[in-house]
Amino acid sequence: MPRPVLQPLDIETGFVAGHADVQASLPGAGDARLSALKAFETDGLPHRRVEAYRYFDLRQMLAKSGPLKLAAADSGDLAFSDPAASLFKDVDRHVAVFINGHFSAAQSSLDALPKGLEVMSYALAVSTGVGWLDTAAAVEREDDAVSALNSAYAADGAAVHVAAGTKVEKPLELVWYSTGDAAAHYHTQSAVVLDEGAELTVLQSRGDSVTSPLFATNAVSISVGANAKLHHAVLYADALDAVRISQNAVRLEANARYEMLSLAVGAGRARTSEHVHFAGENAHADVNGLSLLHGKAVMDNTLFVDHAVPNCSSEETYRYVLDDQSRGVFQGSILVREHAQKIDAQMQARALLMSRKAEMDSKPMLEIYADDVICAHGSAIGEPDQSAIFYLMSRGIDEKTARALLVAGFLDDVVDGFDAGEIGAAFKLLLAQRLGAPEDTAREVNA
Amino acid sequence: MSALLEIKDLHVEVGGKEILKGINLTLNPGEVHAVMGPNGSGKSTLSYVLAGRPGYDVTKGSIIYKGKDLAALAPNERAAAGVFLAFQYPTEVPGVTTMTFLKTALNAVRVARGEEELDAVRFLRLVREKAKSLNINDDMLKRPLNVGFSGGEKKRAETLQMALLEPSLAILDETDSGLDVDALRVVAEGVNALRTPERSMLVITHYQRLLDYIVPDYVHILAGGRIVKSGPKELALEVEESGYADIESDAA
Repeated sequence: MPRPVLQPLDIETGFVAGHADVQASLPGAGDARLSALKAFETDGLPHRRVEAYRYFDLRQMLAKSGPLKLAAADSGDLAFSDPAASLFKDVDRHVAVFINGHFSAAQSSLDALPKGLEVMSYALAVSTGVGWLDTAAAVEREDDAVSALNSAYAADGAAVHVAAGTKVEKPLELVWYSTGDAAAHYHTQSAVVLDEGAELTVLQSRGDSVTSPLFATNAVSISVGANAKLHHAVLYADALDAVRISQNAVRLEANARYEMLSLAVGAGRARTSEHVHFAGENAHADVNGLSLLHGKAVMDNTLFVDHAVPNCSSEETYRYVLDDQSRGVFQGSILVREHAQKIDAQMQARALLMSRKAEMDSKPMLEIYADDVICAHGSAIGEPDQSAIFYLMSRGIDEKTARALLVAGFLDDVVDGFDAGEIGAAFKLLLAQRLGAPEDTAREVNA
Repeated sequence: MSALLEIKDLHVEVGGKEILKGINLTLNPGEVHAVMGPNGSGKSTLSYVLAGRPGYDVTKGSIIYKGKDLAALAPNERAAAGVFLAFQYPTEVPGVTTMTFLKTALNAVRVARGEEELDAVRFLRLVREKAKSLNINDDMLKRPLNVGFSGGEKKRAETLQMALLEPSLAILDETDSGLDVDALRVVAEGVNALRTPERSMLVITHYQRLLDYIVPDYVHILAGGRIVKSGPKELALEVEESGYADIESDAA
């Protein structure tokens, strides 16, 4: 049955009509942008009848918005009180700053990059035609109306390359910052390419100081070469008025290792997809997501793990703590293709509902076409464990602190599994502060 | 001498079902009382109602502790007032290190008792000193509370908490369960080291074995929600020889 044709929204018409005005300022080939724009015009913003957006009705969220202007490459001051600007401040690291999606050389500190590590503006990488962008372009990514809009409008982003055999010691932080007081949209594309045997830790922190509606899409293509290892920590601290779509895609070659943890603490509405494609054997992906939401915040984690080759393993752990009227969404899907034997894939999503009006939508899926695999998925939604609260209270801890400890522990548990060093410690400190829980004392034992 | 704990005609319901049906029990400072009884007699209910577990409702009678109505206090207020329950099955708390938990608990209790909080350095010194005699090392303190602890580790961790919180009334709920003889000896030595002329203990157990290690002043037999017999420590041996059935029928 054909779907009823939806009347285009003002914002959709604006995206299509406004493109001509900005086309000249965008890097790369214009033809590809125009065909992407055409694809967007055909499909329009995805809505709840599109399965992948079932719990994140983007059309509805933007229905009342008029046409948006492309955000300026404003190099305003960074508000360092924002957690996104300060989470990793004690970590010795290289920093690349992007304001409204545009690389800001002035705000970045990239003077002492080691040999073998390149960090640059995506626009520059495109215009100079660096070869490793092709490696990133080969990474399979989510292909929908949002990725089409992103392709049509992407102005800049981060381009990172680690040469074969280079083990980068200091982490690289990408700071994504939005600022402005007029309704705006912007779109970024980024590439992270690790050649054979390379190792890198990437930190990303995203925060906004916008005081008006913001719609942004961010596409990141990550290629982890043979025997390479990428450790990837992400913080989302979006503003109340922000609606954000992130489409992350990862391709793993043989013996590659990808470890990711994202933490969402923002007030806005965000959909983040992780598309993990196994292209070589004996690779491992460890993908984790934490959401600590309040108000009317929404975090949708949509996950697609494609086990296309044998002898790989993946672990996906997502946890949500939902207060007020916030909403968590987990749509996790593991595909084990025919002939992809000896796969070990474990997926788990758990949510704590802290208020009666909070909502969790969880949809884990396994699709298995090989017969010699170990795959499991689990989903649990509940309240904080009453017997544990009583146990803590029986030791003199008041109920509020007991709950905070318990909830922090629920999230810290995943952080501990991801990073036992200073990055994990930074996450745990932020969680303790947000929850009013006592700080971790165990670190002091080593001091 | 005024009693530390005075339980009078205590009736307790759990989920609408009456479990304790008129308990009378008085503990003076420094006394160790054992409560023995078969499964289902209400032993754990007695320990939980003293610690204030939600869902354990006092329907009749009273619990007077240090001259106050204990039932009116929240569990954390009872802990501050000096009541400590060593759990039969200590709860696992993922993601919360034992060290963080201990520091939070100790400082909460200290503040409530009008003492100053301990900073990290002084806290660590104190914990290590108390932990040493219980064979608890730093590695165990850095692990999440009770998660993956063996039976012996759990009970040693409970004993460490007791040593740190310095209760006036310690309730040991089946402390011997899940322990082999060696582990039992370590835990019992830890408990015995905490015996003082002021501190009272209520030792709840199914088996006489524990009482070889923690020797009580008095023994009470609990059956069907009532104390059916009380006596000196030798009463425990009687149970060992003739079983609970004989004592219950004697009392009836």
